[in-house]
Amino acid sequence: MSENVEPGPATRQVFNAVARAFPRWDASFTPRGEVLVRVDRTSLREVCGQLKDHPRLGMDLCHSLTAVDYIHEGRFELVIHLFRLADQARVVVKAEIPRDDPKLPTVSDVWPTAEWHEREAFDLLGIEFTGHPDLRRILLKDDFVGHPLRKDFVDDRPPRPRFVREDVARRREYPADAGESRVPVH
Amino acid sequence: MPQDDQARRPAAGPDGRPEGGMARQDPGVAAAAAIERERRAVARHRESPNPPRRALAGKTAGVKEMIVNMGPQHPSTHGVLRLVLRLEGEQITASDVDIGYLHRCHEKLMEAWSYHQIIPLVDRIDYLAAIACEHCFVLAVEDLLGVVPTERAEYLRVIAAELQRIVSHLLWFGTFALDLGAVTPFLYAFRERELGYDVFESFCGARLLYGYFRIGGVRNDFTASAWEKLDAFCDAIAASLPEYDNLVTNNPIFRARTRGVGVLTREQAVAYGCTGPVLRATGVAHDLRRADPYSIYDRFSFEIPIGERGDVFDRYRVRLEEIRQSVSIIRQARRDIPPGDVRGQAPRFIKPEGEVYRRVEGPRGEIGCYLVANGSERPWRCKWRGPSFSHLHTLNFLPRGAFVADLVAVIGSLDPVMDDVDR
Repeated sequence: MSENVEPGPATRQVFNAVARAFPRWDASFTPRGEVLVRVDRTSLREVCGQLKDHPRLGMDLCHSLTAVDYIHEGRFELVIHLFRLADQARVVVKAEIPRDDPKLPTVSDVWPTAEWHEREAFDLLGIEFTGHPDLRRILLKDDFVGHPLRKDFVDDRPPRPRFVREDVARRREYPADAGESRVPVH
Repeated sequence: MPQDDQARRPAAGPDGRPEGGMARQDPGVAAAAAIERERRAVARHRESPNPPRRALAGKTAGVKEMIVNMGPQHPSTHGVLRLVLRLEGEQITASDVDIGYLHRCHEKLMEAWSYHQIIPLVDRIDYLAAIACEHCFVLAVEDLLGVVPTERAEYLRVIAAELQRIVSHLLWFGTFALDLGAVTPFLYAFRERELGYDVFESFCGARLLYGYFRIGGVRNDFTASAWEKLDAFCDAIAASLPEYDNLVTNNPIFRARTRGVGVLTREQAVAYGCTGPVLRATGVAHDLRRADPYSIYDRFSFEIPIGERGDVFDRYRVRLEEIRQSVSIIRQARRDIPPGDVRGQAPRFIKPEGEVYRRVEGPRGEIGCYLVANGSERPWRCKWRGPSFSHLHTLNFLPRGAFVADLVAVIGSLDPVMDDVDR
C-alpha cells in the first residue's frame, strides 16, 4: 500500500485558513495530501460559496464533480475536486446523499462548469440537483430508462439482433443504390 | 422507435426477400417516404421530454429568426457534435450544445474490467491523445499501489507523451485550416504526422491506440530504429514549422478570419473549467507540467506559450508554439535518458484500495481521473474528466452574436474530440 502524501504549502495554507475562519467545518487531510471538507447537504452551497469567494481560500477551478454509489451503506457521495489556479492548492468537498432521497442543492452558480458535471451525475447516477437551471440528461438519449452507474442498475432491454454473414451477402446482391452509383461522385 | 424501423425497412418482395432498396422504387415514393421520416423525427423531437435549452424554447420572431440544427453530421463539428442554433439571418442569437452521440459507457465498463485491462480501454477515451489518457490512469493506479516506475521508463513516458502532443496538434492544425477553407495545410500537416505515427509504430507496434504504458513502467524499450525515426521526426517537424507559419500564420485571410473571433475572457475560461491551450490563450501561464509537475517534467526546461486576447488566433498560436516546445522536451529527454529496466516490478495481480484524483496535461487540456478502489481486482468507480467536455460547455454562450462561418472557426479552435466529451 502507498504511503501518505504530505500536503504542499499551498494546501496547508488553505487548511489553516479554513481552521481559522470556519472552525465548525469538518476539515481534514486526505491520504493524498488534499484538504478534505465534509459537508452536510444543507450547508453545501454555503461552504462552496465560501471556498470560492473567501479572500484567503479562492478555489476558482472546479476540476470535477461527480458522485459515487456506496450501495452497501445505502448512500451516494458527492465528490467535488477543486484547485486554486494560482498555486495549485487542492480541496476535495464531499457530501453524503441518502440513497432513498438523492437530492442536493446545485453549485452550478458558484462554478458554472459544474452545470454540465451535475447534468452528468443526474444522467448516470440519478442525483437531483435542486435549483439547477437546466437539469436534463446529457450523455444518454432522452428516453433512456434508469441510471446506469447505480450499482443496482439492470439493463433489461432485449438483446439487439445479431448481424450475420447472410446479411452481408444479401447486401452485396442488392446494393441499396445500384444504378445511381454508376455516376462518379466527383 | 419500432414503427420508424418498419418504415425504413424495404417491403418484402414476392419471394420473401427484401425488395432492392431505393433505386428500384419510384423516386417519387422514395422522396415521399423520406419526407415522412423527417416529419416524424421532428414530431418526436417536439414531444421529447427533453426539449432544448430554455434560451431556445421561445417562439421565433416571425420569419426573421429560425432554429437550425448544426450537426450531428456536419463536417466541421469534428465527429458527432450537435448544435441547435437560433439564427437571425446569418447571425447566431442563441445556441445549445447537444452531446452524447458517441457515449460508449466507458465509466461503466471500467467497473467491470481489471486494472490492466483498463489501460487499452482508456486509449479509446481520447483516441487522438491515447498516451495522455494512459498516463493519467497509470499514475492514478501507481499512486494507490505506491509503485514507483523505473527511471528509464519515466523518460520513455515523457518522450511518448510529447510525441503524442505533437501528432495531436498536427492533426488539429490540418483540420483547423481545413475548416477555414484552406486545403493545403492539411496535406502539409499529414506529411509530418505520418512520420510521427511511424515512430509510434516502431516502438510499440500500434499507430493510434497504443496500450504502451504498464503499471510501474512501459511495455518495451525503444529499438535502435525507433530512436533513428524519432530523431528524423524531430528534425522534420522543426524544419516544417516555419513553413506552417508562412503558409497559415502570416496569411492575411487566415488572420482576418481568426483575429478577434470567439473571444474568451480569462474569467470565463476559469469559471467554465477550461484548461490547456484554451486557458493559456487567455493569458494564464498555467501548465500542469510546470505548475504541478508529475512524472519527471520538473527536469526539463521549456517555455509556456500564452496568448493575449483569448481569441481563435491566440489559441492557434499557442498550440503551434507548443509543438516547438515539445520537440525541445523530446530532445532533452533523448539526451538524458539513463540505461536500465523499463518494465518495473509491479505485481501482476493487483488489488489496490483507497481513492485518488490524478490529472495530467494532455494535448487538449487537463485530463482528470478520479479512481475509487475497494480492494478488489476492479475499480469501484472511475470518473473521467476530459478537457473537451468543459471546452464545449463554452459553446452555450461563445457564439452569441457571431456568424455561422465564425462558429466553425471557434469549434475548430477549441479542438474538441467527441470521444473525450461523450466517453
